[in-house]
Amino acid sequence: MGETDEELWRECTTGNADAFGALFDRHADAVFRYCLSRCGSWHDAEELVSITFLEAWRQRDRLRPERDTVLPWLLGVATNANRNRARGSRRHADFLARLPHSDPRHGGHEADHAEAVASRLDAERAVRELLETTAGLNDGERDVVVLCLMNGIGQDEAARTLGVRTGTVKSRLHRARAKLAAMNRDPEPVEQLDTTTVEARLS
Amino acid sequence: MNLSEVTYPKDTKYRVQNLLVQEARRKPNLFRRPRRTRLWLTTAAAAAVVALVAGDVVGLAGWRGGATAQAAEVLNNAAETAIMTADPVVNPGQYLRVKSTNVWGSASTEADGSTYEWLDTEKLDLYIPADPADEWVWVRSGRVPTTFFDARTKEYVEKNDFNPLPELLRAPNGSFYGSPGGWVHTDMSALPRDPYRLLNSIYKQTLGKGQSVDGEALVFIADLLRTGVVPADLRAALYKAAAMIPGVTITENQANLDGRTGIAIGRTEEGPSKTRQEIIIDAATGLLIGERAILTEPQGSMPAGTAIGWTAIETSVTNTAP
Repeated sequence: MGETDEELWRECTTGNADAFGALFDRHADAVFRYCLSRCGSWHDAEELVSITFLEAWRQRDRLRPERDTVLPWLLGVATNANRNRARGSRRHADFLARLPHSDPRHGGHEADHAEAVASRLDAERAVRELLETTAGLNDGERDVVVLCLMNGIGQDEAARTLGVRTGTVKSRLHRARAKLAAMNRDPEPVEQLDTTTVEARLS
Repeated sequence: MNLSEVTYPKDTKYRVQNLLVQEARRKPNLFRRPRRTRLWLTTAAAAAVVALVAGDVVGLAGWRGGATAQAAEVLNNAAETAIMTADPVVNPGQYLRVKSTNVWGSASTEADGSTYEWLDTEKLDLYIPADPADEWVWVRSGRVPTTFFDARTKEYVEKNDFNPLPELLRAPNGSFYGSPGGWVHTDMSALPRDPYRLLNSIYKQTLGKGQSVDGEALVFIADLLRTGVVPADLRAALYKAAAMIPGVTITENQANLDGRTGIAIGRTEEGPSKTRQEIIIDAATGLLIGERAILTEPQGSMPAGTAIGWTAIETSVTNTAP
Protein backbone atom coordinates (compact mmCIF):
# COMPACT_ATOMS: atom_id res chain seq x y z
CA MET A 1 0.00 0.00 0.00
CA GLY A 2 2.90 2.34 -0.70
CA GLU A 3 0.95 4.18 -3.37
CA THR A 4 0.16 7.84 -2.88
CA ASP A 5 -3.37 9.19 -2.93
CA GLU A 6 -2.65 10.74 -6.27
CA GLU A 7 -1.56 7.42 -7.80
CA LEU A 8 -4.57 5.62 -6.35
CA TRP A 9 -6.88 8.34 -7.57
CA ARG A 10 -5.51 8.08 -11.08
CA GLU A 11 -6.28 4.35 -10.91
CA CYS A 12 -9.83 5.20 -9.81
CA THR A 13 -10.39 7.41 -12.82
CA THR A 14 -9.57 4.44 -15.06
CA GLY A 15 -12.26 2.45 -13.26
CA ASN A 16 -10.04 0.50 -10.84
CA ALA A 17 -12.39 -0.45 -8.01
CA ASP A 18 -9.63 -1.89 -5.83
CA ALA A 19 -7.75 1.40 -5.81
CA PHE A 20 -10.98 2.99 -4.67
CA GLY A 21 -11.18 0.41 -1.87
CA ALA A 22 -7.63 1.29 -0.80
CA LEU A 23 -8.50 4.99 -0.64
CA PHE A 24 -11.59 4.16 1.41
CA ASP A 25 -9.45 2.17 3.82
CA ARG A 26 -7.06 5.09 4.15
CA HIS A 27 -9.58 7.86 4.75
CA ALA A 28 -12.70 6.21 6.17
CA ASP A 29 -11.84 7.10 9.78
CA ALA A 30 -11.20 10.77 9.07
CA VAL A 31 -14.31 11.03 6.91
CA PHE A 32 -16.34 9.25 9.59
CA ARG A 33 -15.14 11.66 12.29
CA TYR A 34 -16.06 14.58 10.09
CA CYS A 35 -19.50 13.12 9.29
CA LEU A 36 -20.12 12.46 12.98
CA SER A 37 -19.18 16.03 13.83
CA ARG A 38 -21.54 17.23 11.10
CA CYS A 39 -24.66 15.30 11.98
CA GLY A 40 -24.16 14.30 15.61
CA SER A 41 -25.63 10.84 15.11
CA TRP A 42 -23.54 7.72 14.92
CA HIS A 43 -26.05 5.91 12.71
CA ASP A 44 -26.44 8.83 10.29
CA ALA A 45 -22.68 9.32 10.17
CA GLU A 46 -22.16 5.70 9.12
CA GLU A 47 -24.62 6.22 6.28
CA LEU A 48 -23.12 9.54 5.34
CA VAL A 49 -19.68 7.94 4.96
CA SER A 50 -21.12 5.52 2.38
CA ILE A 51 -22.94 8.26 0.52
CA THR A 52 -19.76 10.34 0.49
CA PHE A 53 -17.70 7.57 -1.08
CA LEU A 54 -20.44 6.63 -3.55
CA GLU A 55 -20.61 10.26 -4.63
CA ALA A 56 -16.82 10.47 -4.76
CA TRP A 57 -16.76 7.49 -7.12
CA ARG A 58 -19.50 9.04 -9.20
CA GLN A 59 -17.62 12.32 -9.44
CA ARG A 60 -14.19 10.80 -9.85
CA ASP A 61 -13.54 12.41 -13.24
CA ARG A 62 -13.94 15.85 -11.70
CA LEU A 63 -11.04 15.67 -9.31
CA ARG A 64 -7.44 16.31 -10.13
CA PRO A 65 -5.52 16.03 -6.88
CA GLU A 66 -3.22 19.04 -6.75
CA ARG A 67 -1.25 17.83 -3.84
CA ASP A 68 -0.92 14.44 -2.46
CA THR A 69 -4.07 13.99 -0.41
CA VAL A 70 -7.66 13.61 -1.54
CA LEU A 71 -9.00 14.03 2.01
CA PRO A 72 -9.96 17.72 1.68
CA TRP A 73 -11.87 16.89 -1.46
CA LEU A 74 -13.59 13.93 0.23
CA LEU A 75 -14.59 16.19 3.12
CA GLY A 76 -16.00 18.64 0.58
CA VAL A 77 -18.07 15.82 -0.94
CA ALA A 78 -19.19 14.89 2.58
CA THR A 79 -20.16 18.52 3.26
CA ASN A 80 -22.43 18.57 0.23
CA ALA A 81 -23.75 15.08 0.89
CA ASN A 82 -24.71 16.16 4.40
CA ARG A 83 -26.58 19.20 3.03
CA ASN A 84 -28.48 16.99 0.56
CA ARG A 85 -28.84 14.12 2.97
CA ALA A 86 -32.51 13.37 2.29
CA ARG A 87 -32.06 13.44 -1.46
CA GLY A 88 -28.75 11.62 -1.35
CA SER A 89 -30.15 8.77 0.73
CA ARG A 90 -32.95 8.30 -1.76
CA ARG A 91 -30.56 8.29 -4.66
CA HIS A 92 -28.45 5.64 -2.99
CA ALA A 93 -31.37 3.81 -1.41
CA ASP A 94 -30.58 0.46 -2.97
CA PHE A 95 -27.02 0.69 -1.75
CA LEU A 96 -27.95 1.83 1.74
CA ALA A 97 -30.49 -0.99 2.00
CA ARG A 98 -27.58 -3.43 1.87
CA LEU A 99 -25.50 -1.44 4.29
CA PRO A 100 -24.64 -3.18 7.52
CA HIS A 101 -24.81 -0.86 10.50
CA SER A 102 -22.42 -1.60 13.26
CA ASP A 103 -24.41 -2.74 16.21
CA PRO A 104 -22.53 -3.06 19.48
CA ARG A 105 -25.16 -5.58 20.65
CA HIS A 106 -23.96 -8.24 18.20
CA GLY A 107 -20.96 -10.47 18.85
CA GLY A 108 -18.19 -10.15 21.43
CA HIS A 109 -18.44 -10.09 25.23
CA GLU A 110 -21.07 -8.43 27.36
CA ALA A 111 -18.63 -6.09 29.03
CA ASP A 112 -17.27 -4.98 25.64
CA HIS A 113 -20.79 -4.17 24.50
CA ALA A 114 -21.53 -1.98 27.44
CA GLU A 115 -18.27 -0.19 26.84
CA ALA A 116 -18.87 0.21 23.10
CA VAL A 117 -22.38 1.55 23.66
CA ALA A 118 -21.14 3.94 26.32
CA SER A 119 -18.29 5.32 24.24
CA ARG A 120 -20.60 5.71 21.28
CA LEU A 121 -23.10 7.69 23.34
CA ASP A 122 -20.21 9.71 24.76
CA ALA A 123 -19.07 10.61 21.28
CA GLU A 124 -22.55 11.58 20.16
CA ARG A 125 -23.11 13.69 23.26
CA ALA A 126 -19.76 15.41 22.91
CA VAL A 127 -20.45 16.23 19.27
CA ARG A 128 -23.93 17.55 20.00
CA GLU A 129 -22.60 19.75 22.78
CA LEU A 130 -19.96 21.11 20.45
CA LEU A 131 -22.54 21.71 17.75
CA GLU A 132 -24.75 23.55 20.23
CA THR A 133 -21.93 25.94 20.97
CA THR A 134 -21.95 26.89 17.29
CA ALA A 135 -25.62 27.88 17.30
CA GLY A 136 -24.83 31.59 17.08
CA LEU A 137 -22.55 31.20 14.06
CA ASN A 138 -23.50 31.48 10.42
CA ASP A 139 -23.07 28.49 8.10
CA GLY A 140 -19.66 29.57 6.81
CA GLU A 141 -18.30 30.11 10.29
CA ARG A 142 -19.69 26.80 11.49
CA ASP A 143 -18.00 25.04 8.53
CA VAL A 144 -14.55 26.23 9.59
CA VAL A 145 -15.18 25.54 13.28
CA VAL A 146 -16.20 21.95 12.51
CA LEU A 147 -13.30 21.41 10.10
CA CYS A 148 -10.44 23.19 11.84
CA LEU A 149 -11.33 23.10 15.53
CA MET A 150 -13.35 19.90 15.84
CA ASN A 151 -11.53 17.82 13.22
CA GLY A 152 -8.06 19.31 13.32
CA ILE A 153 -7.97 20.00 9.59
CA GLY A 154 -5.40 22.60 8.54
CA GLN A 155 -6.55 25.95 7.18
CA ASP A 156 -5.26 25.30 3.65
CA GLU A 157 -7.03 21.94 3.55
CA ALA A 158 -10.22 23.48 4.95
CA ALA A 159 -10.06 26.10 2.20
CA ARG A 160 -9.85 23.36 -0.43
CA THR A 161 -12.68 21.43 1.21
CA LEU A 162 -14.94 24.46 1.14
CA GLY A 163 -13.75 25.82 -2.19
CA VAL A 164 -12.74 29.17 -0.72
CA ARG A 165 -9.42 30.99 -0.26
CA THR A 166 -7.28 30.35 2.80
CA GLY A 167 -7.74 34.00 3.75
CA THR A 168 -11.48 33.43 3.91
CA VAL A 169 -10.99 30.48 6.24
CA LYS A 170 -8.73 32.60 8.45
CA SER A 171 -11.19 35.46 8.67
CA ARG A 172 -14.15 33.15 9.28
CA LEU A 173 -12.24 31.43 12.06
CA HIS A 174 -11.34 34.79 13.53
CA ARG A 175 -14.97 35.94 13.50
CA ALA A 176 -16.19 32.61 14.84
CA ARG A 177 -13.69 32.73 17.70
CA ALA A 178 -14.73 36.28 18.58
CA LYS A 179 -18.40 35.26 18.64
CA LEU A 180 -17.71 32.11 20.65
CA ALA A 181 -15.57 34.07 23.10
CA ALA A 182 -18.37 36.60 23.49
CA MET A 183 -20.62 33.67 24.36
CA ASN A 184 -17.76 32.30 26.46
CA ARG A 185 -17.83 29.01 24.58
CA ASP A 186 -14.57 28.77 22.67
CA PRO A 187 -14.31 25.05 21.91
CA GLU A 188 -10.97 23.53 22.71
CA PRO A 189 -9.24 22.66 19.46
CA VAL A 190 -8.94 18.90 19.08
CA GLU A 191 -5.26 19.21 18.38
CA GLN A 192 -3.23 22.15 17.26
CA LEU A 193 -2.28 20.89 13.85
CA ASP A 194 -0.62 22.52 10.95
CA THR A 195 -0.84 21.16 7.44
CA THR A 196 2.27 19.03 7.64
CA THR A 197 1.07 17.13 10.70
CA VAL A 198 -2.32 16.58 9.08
CA GLU A 199 -0.60 15.08 6.09
CA ALA A 200 1.76 13.07 8.23
CA ARG A 201 -1.22 11.63 10.05
CA LEU A 202 -2.78 10.59 6.78
CA SER A 203 0.15 8.70 5.42
CA MET B 1 -14.03 12.70 25.23
CA ASN B 2 -11.81 13.56 22.32
CA LEU B 3 -13.25 13.38 18.82
CA SER B 4 -9.86 12.55 17.34
CA GLU B 5 -9.99 9.16 19.10
CA VAL B 6 -13.20 8.15 17.34
CA THR B 7 -12.75 5.62 14.56
CA TYR B 8 -15.11 4.09 12.06
CA PRO B 9 -16.17 0.76 13.63
CA LYS B 10 -13.97 -1.94 12.16
CA ASP B 11 -16.70 -4.43 11.30
CA THR B 12 -18.78 -1.83 9.47
CA LYS B 13 -15.69 -0.50 7.77
CA TYR B 14 -14.76 -3.85 6.27
CA ARG B 15 -18.25 -4.53 5.03
CA VAL B 16 -18.82 -1.04 3.63
CA GLN B 17 -15.46 -1.19 1.90
CA ASN B 18 -16.45 -4.44 0.29
CA LEU B 19 -19.84 -3.14 -0.81
CA LEU B 20 -18.27 0.00 -2.25
CA VAL B 21 -15.69 -1.94 -4.22
CA GLN B 22 -18.41 -4.22 -5.54
CA GLU B 23 -20.51 -1.23 -6.46
CA ALA B 24 -17.59 0.43 -8.22
CA ARG B 25 -16.78 -2.80 -10.04
CA ARG B 26 -20.39 -3.37 -10.99
CA LYS B 27 -20.95 0.05 -12.50
CA PRO B 28 -17.51 1.36 -13.35
CA ASN B 29 -18.89 3.47 -16.15
CA LEU B 30 -22.43 4.30 -15.18
CA PHE B 31 -21.64 7.96 -15.00
CA ARG B 32 -19.07 8.14 -17.72
CA ARG B 33 -18.22 11.57 -18.86
CA PRO B 34 -16.36 12.44 -22.03
CA ARG B 35 -12.80 13.19 -21.11
CA ARG B 36 -11.68 16.58 -22.21
CA THR B 37 -8.52 16.54 -24.23
CA ARG B 38 -6.49 19.62 -24.97
CA LEU B 39 -5.00 19.86 -28.41
CA TRP B 40 -2.30 22.32 -29.31
CA LEU B 41 -2.56 23.56 -32.88
CA THR B 42 0.63 24.76 -34.44
CA THR B 43 0.25 24.42 -38.18
CA ALA B 44 -2.52 24.14 -40.71
CA ALA B 45 -1.58 20.49 -41.26
CA ALA B 46 -1.94 19.73 -37.60
CA ALA B 47 -5.26 21.51 -37.65
CA ALA B 48 -6.41 19.34 -40.53
CA VAL B 49 -5.44 16.15 -38.68
CA VAL B 50 -7.17 17.45 -35.59
CA ALA B 51 -10.30 18.10 -37.65
CA LEU B 52 -10.23 14.52 -38.93
CA VAL B 53 -9.75 13.13 -35.42
CA ALA B 54 -12.41 15.43 -34.00
CA GLY B 55 -14.78 14.34 -36.73
CA ASP B 56 -14.00 10.73 -35.87
CA VAL B 57 -12.74 10.17 -39.43
CA VAL B 58 -9.36 9.13 -38.06
CA GLY B 59 -9.03 7.09 -34.90
CA LEU B 60 -8.51 3.66 -33.41
CA ALA B 61 -11.23 1.98 -35.44
CA GLY B 62 -10.61 -0.14 -38.51
CA TRP B 63 -6.86 -0.66 -38.83
CA ARG B 64 -6.27 -3.07 -35.94
CA GLY B 65 -8.52 -5.88 -37.18
CA GLY B 66 -12.08 -6.55 -36.09
CA ALA B 67 -14.47 -9.15 -34.74
CA THR B 68 -14.28 -12.76 -35.97
CA ALA B 69 -16.20 -13.44 -39.19
CA GLN B 70 -18.94 -15.40 -37.39
CA ALA B 71 -19.46 -12.73 -34.74
CA ALA B 72 -19.47 -10.00 -37.39
CA GLU B 73 -22.11 -11.89 -39.34
CA VAL B 74 -24.45 -12.14 -36.34
CA LEU B 75 -23.90 -8.48 -35.50
CA ASN B 76 -24.39 -7.26 -39.06
CA ASN B 77 -27.59 -9.34 -39.35
CA ALA B 78 -28.82 -7.79 -36.11
CA ALA B 79 -28.08 -4.38 -37.60
CA GLU B 80 -30.16 -5.20 -40.69
CA THR B 81 -33.04 -6.37 -38.46
CA ALA B 82 -32.82 -3.21 -36.38
CA ILE B 83 -33.11 -1.04 -39.51
CA MET B 84 -35.94 -3.08 -41.00
CA THR B 85 -37.97 -3.44 -37.81
CA ALA B 86 -39.20 0.10 -37.29
CA ASP B 87 -39.22 1.42 -33.70
CA PRO B 88 -42.61 0.99 -32.05
CA VAL B 89 -44.73 4.12 -32.44
CA VAL B 90 -45.74 5.67 -29.14
CA ASN B 91 -48.80 7.86 -29.64
CA PRO B 92 -49.75 10.73 -27.32
CA GLY B 93 -51.08 9.28 -24.07
CA GLN B 94 -49.21 6.01 -24.58
CA TYR B 95 -46.00 4.78 -23.00
CA LEU B 96 -42.97 2.90 -24.18
CA ARG B 97 -42.56 0.18 -21.59
CA VAL B 98 -39.07 -1.18 -20.93
CA LYS B 99 -39.24 -4.26 -18.75
CA SER B 100 -36.01 -5.75 -17.53
CA THR B 101 -34.65 -8.41 -15.26
CA ASN B 102 -31.31 -7.50 -13.77
CA VAL B 103 -28.86 -9.56 -11.84
CA TRP B 104 -26.10 -7.96 -9.81
CA GLY B 105 -23.25 -9.50 -7.86
CA SER B 106 -23.14 -8.84 -4.12
CA ALA B 107 -20.42 -9.57 -1.63
CA SER B 108 -19.63 -9.00 1.98
CA THR B 109 -16.52 -9.41 4.09
CA GLU B 110 -16.70 -9.99 7.81
CA ALA B 111 -14.28 -8.53 10.32
CA ASP B 112 -12.55 -11.92 10.58
CA GLY B 113 -11.81 -11.79 6.84
CA SER B 114 -14.37 -14.39 5.74
CA THR B 115 -16.07 -13.42 2.51
CA TYR B 116 -19.50 -14.16 1.07
CA GLU B 117 -20.65 -13.77 -2.53
CA TRP B 118 -24.12 -14.12 -3.93
CA LEU B 119 -26.34 -12.71 -6.68
CA ASP B 120 -29.27 -10.30 -6.34
CA THR B 121 -32.12 -10.00 -8.83
CA GLU B 122 -33.98 -6.79 -9.48
CA LYS B 123 -37.01 -6.42 -11.75
CA LEU B 124 -37.35 -3.01 -13.33
CA ASP B 125 -40.35 -1.69 -15.18
CA LEU B 126 -39.99 1.68 -16.86
CA TYR B 127 -42.79 3.63 -18.54
CA ILE B 128 -41.62 6.40 -20.85
CA PRO B 129 -44.35 8.85 -21.95
CA ALA B 130 -44.77 9.82 -25.63
CA ASP B 131 -43.55 13.29 -24.71
CA PRO B 132 -40.38 12.72 -22.63
CA ALA B 133 -41.06 15.99 -20.77
CA ASP B 134 -44.12 14.32 -19.20
CA GLU B 135 -43.98 12.11 -16.14
CA TRP B 136 -42.04 8.85 -16.35
CA VAL B 137 -42.91 5.98 -14.04
CA TRP B 138 -40.37 3.50 -12.74
CA VAL B 139 -41.26 0.42 -10.72
CA ARG B 140 -38.32 -1.19 -8.96
CA SER B 141 -38.57 -4.45 -7.06
CA GLY B 142 -35.42 -3.72 -5.09
CA ARG B 143 -32.54 -6.18 -4.97
CA VAL B 144 -33.65 -9.62 -3.86
CA PRO B 145 -30.88 -12.08 -2.97
CA THR B 146 -31.59 -14.99 -5.33
CA THR B 147 -28.54 -17.11 -6.09
CA PHE B 148 -26.13 -18.65 -3.60
CA PHE B 149 -23.14 -20.82 -4.26
CA ASP B 150 -22.91 -22.44 -0.85
CA ALA B 151 -25.11 -23.04 2.20
CA ARG B 152 -23.12 -20.86 4.57
CA THR B 153 -23.66 -17.80 2.37
CA LYS B 154 -27.38 -18.44 2.20
CA GLU B 155 -27.48 -18.65 5.96
CA TYR B 156 -25.39 -15.50 6.29
CA VAL B 157 -27.64 -13.49 3.95
CA GLU B 158 -30.78 -14.68 5.72
CA LYS B 159 -29.32 -13.82 9.10
CA ASN B 160 -28.26 -10.34 8.03
CA ASP B 161 -31.56 -9.26 6.51
CA PHE B 162 -30.52 -8.02 3.09
CA ASN B 163 -34.09 -6.97 2.46
CA PRO B 164 -35.19 -5.52 -0.88
CA LEU B 165 -36.42 -1.95 -0.99
CA PRO B 166 -39.28 -1.78 -3.53
CA GLU B 167 -39.85 1.65 -5.03
CA LEU B 168 -42.38 3.38 -7.26
CA LEU B 169 -40.79 6.48 -8.75
CA ARG B 170 -42.24 9.29 -10.85
CA ALA B 171 -40.28 12.04 -12.57
CA PRO B 172 -40.61 14.20 -15.67
CA ASN B 173 -37.78 13.74 -18.20
CA GLY B 174 -36.75 10.53 -16.46
CA SER B 175 -34.88 12.61 -13.87
CA PHE B 176 -35.31 10.05 -11.12
CA TYR B 177 -33.71 10.78 -7.75
CA GLY B 178 -33.27 14.37 -8.89
CA SER B 179 -30.62 13.37 -11.41
CA PRO B 180 -30.32 16.17 -13.95
CA GLY B 181 -28.85 13.87 -16.60
CA GLY B 182 -32.10 11.98 -17.22
CA TRP B 183 -32.28 8.31 -18.07
CA VAL B 184 -29.42 7.91 -20.51
CA HIS B 185 -26.10 9.44 -19.51
CA THR B 186 -24.91 9.67 -23.10
CA ASP B 187 -26.15 12.24 -25.59
CA MET B 188 -27.43 9.78 -28.19
CA SER B 189 -28.23 12.48 -30.75
CA ALA B 190 -24.56 13.48 -30.81
CA LEU B 191 -23.31 9.96 -31.67
CA PRO B 192 -22.47 9.36 -35.36
CA ARG B 193 -24.65 6.85 -37.23
CA ASP B 194 -21.78 5.83 -39.48
CA PRO B 195 -20.40 2.70 -37.71
CA TYR B 196 -16.74 3.58 -38.33
CA ARG B 197 -17.11 7.13 -37.00
CA LEU B 198 -19.28 5.86 -34.17
CA LEU B 199 -16.59 3.42 -33.05
CA ASN B 200 -13.92 6.13 -33.20
CA SER B 201 -16.17 8.37 -31.16
CA ILE B 202 -16.68 5.57 -28.59
CA TYR B 203 -12.93 4.93 -28.34
CA LYS B 204 -12.38 8.62 -27.73
CA GLN B 205 -14.84 8.54 -24.82
CA THR B 206 -13.62 5.31 -23.24
CA LEU B 207 -9.88 5.45 -23.86
CA GLY B 208 -7.98 4.90 -20.62
CA LYS B 209 -10.98 3.41 -18.84
CA GLY B 210 -11.90 -0.18 -18.07
CA GLN B 211 -9.67 -3.18 -18.45
CA SER B 212 -8.72 -2.75 -22.11
CA VAL B 213 -9.29 -0.32 -24.96
CA ASP B 214 -11.42 -2.73 -26.98
CA GLY B 215 -13.11 -4.36 -23.99
CA GLU B 216 -14.25 -0.99 -22.73
CA ALA B 217 -15.66 -0.04 -26.14
CA LEU B 218 -17.83 -3.19 -26.03
CA VAL B 219 -18.89 -2.32 -22.46
CA PHE B 220 -19.93 1.14 -23.67
CA ILE B 221 -22.05 -0.45 -26.40
CA ALA B 222 -23.65 -2.96 -24.00
CA ASP B 223 -24.34 -0.22 -21.42
CA LEU B 224 -26.13 1.87 -24.01
CA LEU B 225 -28.10 -1.03 -25.49
CA ARG B 226 -29.37 -2.17 -22.09
CA THR B 227 -31.14 1.16 -21.49
CA GLY B 228 -33.77 -0.13 -23.95
CA VAL B 229 -34.28 3.31 -25.45
CA VAL B 230 -31.67 3.42 -28.22
CA PRO B 231 -33.33 4.39 -31.54
CA ALA B 232 -33.18 1.85 -34.38
CA ASP B 233 -30.63 3.73 -36.52
CA LEU B 234 -28.21 4.06 -33.61
CA ARG B 235 -28.84 0.46 -32.53
CA ALA B 236 -27.88 -0.73 -36.01
CA ALA B 237 -24.75 1.42 -35.96
CA LEU B 238 -23.80 0.08 -32.51
CA TYR B 239 -24.03 -3.54 -33.75
CA LYS B 240 -21.91 -2.71 -36.78
CA ALA B 241 -19.41 -0.86 -34.59
CA ALA B 242 -19.18 -3.92 -32.29
CA ALA B 243 -18.40 -6.00 -35.38
CA MET B 244 -15.33 -3.81 -35.92
CA ILE B 245 -13.84 -4.28 -32.44
CA PRO B 246 -10.77 -6.55 -32.43
CA GLY B 247 -11.14 -9.67 -30.27
CA VAL B 248 -14.93 -9.73 -30.39
CA THR B 249 -16.11 -13.26 -30.98
CA ILE B 250 -19.02 -15.66 -30.45
CA THR B 251 -18.61 -16.92 -26.91
CA GLU B 252 -21.70 -19.14 -26.67
CA ASN B 253 -24.12 -20.35 -29.33
CA GLN B 254 -26.96 -21.26 -26.98
CA ALA B 255 -26.81 -18.64 -24.27
CA ASN B 256 -29.76 -18.57 -21.92
CA LEU B 257 -30.80 -15.25 -20.47
CA ASP B 258 -33.97 -15.04 -18.39
CA GLY B 259 -35.45 -18.05 -20.21
CA ARG B 260 -34.65 -16.81 -23.72
CA THR B 261 -31.92 -18.30 -25.83
CA GLY B 262 -29.56 -16.37 -28.07
CA ILE B 263 -26.05 -16.05 -29.38
CA ALA B 264 -23.58 -14.50 -26.94
CA ILE B 265 -20.99 -12.18 -28.41
CA GLY B 266 -18.18 -11.09 -26.19
CA ARG B 267 -14.54 -10.37 -25.75
CA THR B 268 -12.21 -12.40 -23.58
CA GLU B 269 -10.27 -10.09 -21.32
CA GLU B 270 -6.96 -10.46 -19.61
CA GLY B 271 -7.43 -7.40 -17.44
CA PRO B 272 -7.65 -7.36 -13.65
CA SER B 273 -11.41 -7.72 -13.36
CA LYS B 274 -11.50 -11.29 -14.72
CA THR B 275 -14.81 -10.72 -16.42
CA ARG B 276 -16.05 -10.86 -20.00
CA GLN B 277 -18.70 -8.51 -21.34
CA GLU B 278 -21.21 -10.05 -23.74
CA ILE B 279 -24.26 -8.98 -25.66
CA ILE B 280 -26.89 -11.59 -26.44
CA ILE B 281 -28.82 -11.56 -29.69
CA ASP B 282 -31.77 -13.70 -30.75
CA ALA B 283 -30.34 -15.50 -33.80
CA ALA B 284 -33.77 -16.02 -35.39
CA THR B 285 -35.01 -12.43 -35.17
CA GLY B 286 -31.80 -10.46 -34.76
CA LEU B 287 -33.32 -8.73 -31.74
CA LEU B 288 -31.33 -7.93 -28.63
CA ILE B 289 -32.13 -10.15 -25.65
CA GLY B 290 -29.77 -8.49 -23.21
CA GLU B 291 -26.22 -8.32 -21.95
CA ARG B 292 -24.20 -10.06 -19.29
CA ALA B 293 -20.81 -10.12 -17.60
CA ILE B 294 -19.21 -13.55 -17.16
CA LEU B 295 -16.57 -14.42 -14.61
CA THR B 296 -13.55 -15.87 -16.40
CA GLU B 297 -11.88 -17.08 -13.20
CA PRO B 298 -13.37 -18.34 -9.94
CA GLN B 299 -14.00 -15.62 -7.38
CA GLY B 300 -14.58 -16.81 -3.83
CA SER B 301 -17.43 -19.31 -3.91
CA MET B 302 -18.45 -18.33 -7.45
CA PRO B 303 -17.09 -20.65 -10.15
CA ALA B 304 -15.67 -19.43 -13.47
CA GLY B 305 -18.45 -18.99 -16.00
CA THR B 306 -20.87 -17.44 -13.49
CA ALA B 307 -22.84 -14.54 -14.94
CA ILE B 308 -22.16 -12.01 -12.17
CA GLY B 309 -24.28 -9.34 -13.79
CA TRP B 310 -26.85 -9.42 -16.50
CA THR B 311 -29.82 -7.54 -17.91
CA ALA B 312 -32.56 -8.96 -20.11
CA ILE B 313 -34.83 -6.35 -21.65
CA GLU B 314 -38.15 -6.35 -23.42
CA THR B 315 -39.84 -3.29 -24.87
CA SER B 316 -43.49 -2.77 -25.76
CA VAL B 317 -46.06 0.02 -26.07
CA THR B 318 -48.83 0.36 -23.45
CA ASN B 319 -51.81 2.64 -22.95
CA THR B 320 -51.48 2.94 -19.19
CA ALA B 321 -48.81 3.24 -16.55
CA PRO B 322 -49.11 2.45 -12.83
